[in-house]
Amino acid sequence: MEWRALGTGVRLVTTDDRAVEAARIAVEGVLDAVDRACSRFREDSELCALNRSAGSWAPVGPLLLEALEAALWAAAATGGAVDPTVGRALRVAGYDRDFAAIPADAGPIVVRLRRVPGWQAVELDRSRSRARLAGGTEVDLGSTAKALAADRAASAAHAAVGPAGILVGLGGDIAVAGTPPDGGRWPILVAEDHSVALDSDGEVVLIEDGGIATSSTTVRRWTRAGVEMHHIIDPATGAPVNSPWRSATVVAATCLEANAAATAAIVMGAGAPAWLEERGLPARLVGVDGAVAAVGGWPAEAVERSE
Amino acid sequence: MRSHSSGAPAARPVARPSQQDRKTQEREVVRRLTIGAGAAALGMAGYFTVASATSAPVAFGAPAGDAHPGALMGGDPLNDKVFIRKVHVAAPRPAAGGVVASAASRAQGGAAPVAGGAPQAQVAAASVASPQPPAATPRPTPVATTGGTKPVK
Repeated sequence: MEWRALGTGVRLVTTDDRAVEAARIAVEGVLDAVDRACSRFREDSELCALNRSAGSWAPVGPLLLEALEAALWAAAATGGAVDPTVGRALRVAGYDRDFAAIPADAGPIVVRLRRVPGWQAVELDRSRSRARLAGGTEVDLGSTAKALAADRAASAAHAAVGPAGILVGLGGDIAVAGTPPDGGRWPILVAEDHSVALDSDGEVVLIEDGGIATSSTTVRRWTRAGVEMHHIIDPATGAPVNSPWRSATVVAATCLEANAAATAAIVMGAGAPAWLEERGLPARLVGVDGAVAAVGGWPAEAVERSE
Repeated sequence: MRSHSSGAPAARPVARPSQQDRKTQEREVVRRLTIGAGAAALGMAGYFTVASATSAPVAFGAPAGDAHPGALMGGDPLNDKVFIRKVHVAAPRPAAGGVVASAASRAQGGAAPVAGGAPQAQVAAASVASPQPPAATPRPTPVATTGGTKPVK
């Protein structure tokens, strides 16, 4: 079952056909709540209200609080490579509305290279359900909120339908819960384009639990004055990252962790393989020339060159 | 003979503190100042400790659920005024079940992984040494795809 939400494609798979409807309702409920809390493109979202009130405390609901905590965890765990305070940098670079509405090509823009405010500019007061951003700071939760939504949606659907296996994919970020299909694992196609047909050529890997996520600079690109832009911002410069990797796929205990590690790998560049190996995270890195590197226990026999 | 007497009253001798007394007084002043400054410093330390506990980025809170790893936070008292906050941020964890290649990939063999660093071209390993190559196993049909999206043309 597929539909669109959060500005991307949603895929729901269950191992019990009778559970599909209940699972869909549960997933839709989670995604709608995440959209209302965490969207940067809805004027009525909690996140937009928080960004507008930078410099002073603003109330935040439990879901936005959890999403902010997840984003700050990702920032701390990746040494700041995945930073939620890239909101302004993304906006200046042209990613200022839902991606489908962004002009593919437009005139020149002025991008001043400077470090983003940094995740330390976000203060959370859990006891009073409020948050404060340092003046001039804008938060974007796009990277981690989508993965967190996949985790929450899979858990919610699993809770709704019982032991049936659940897979939720959000634009290529995948979380699984419950009992896997007959073979004991979920077969996942690793491709450059997550919307290709399932019988397309490409690596197929099997996961049993947790999540798998891909971050890519070939996704969500646009052009300004002939210069290619993309949505992965290097916190050190505030501009789209110039990485030796064009995509990174990681398997981890949750989709959130997989997403954070995958995005961090793109930003870290040459240091990514060692960082992933140290954490025992299986990953598939595709260089800008299409060469593939398997690290952290990614099955070498599955590696195929990516064209 | 000159007389020293005059109409003016004779000056009464002023009791000058001894050197020891002056030292005692100075010691007392220094002690008071030290105590005052120390107390102020402790007070400020307390203030900053409280401020750091309430106002500094509280980025390490445990998550509401177990969907993602949180961080452990603890405090060790240095004295009755100052606490040291210790924060441990959990690293991304590998999946318990790991990831394996599909049976078809295992049967076909594959390219050796790049050890790390800059990406290099892969060369598929040919299984010419095997007298009886494993039977071809049909690739399982994937149930989902992970990946990006091609740039819009």
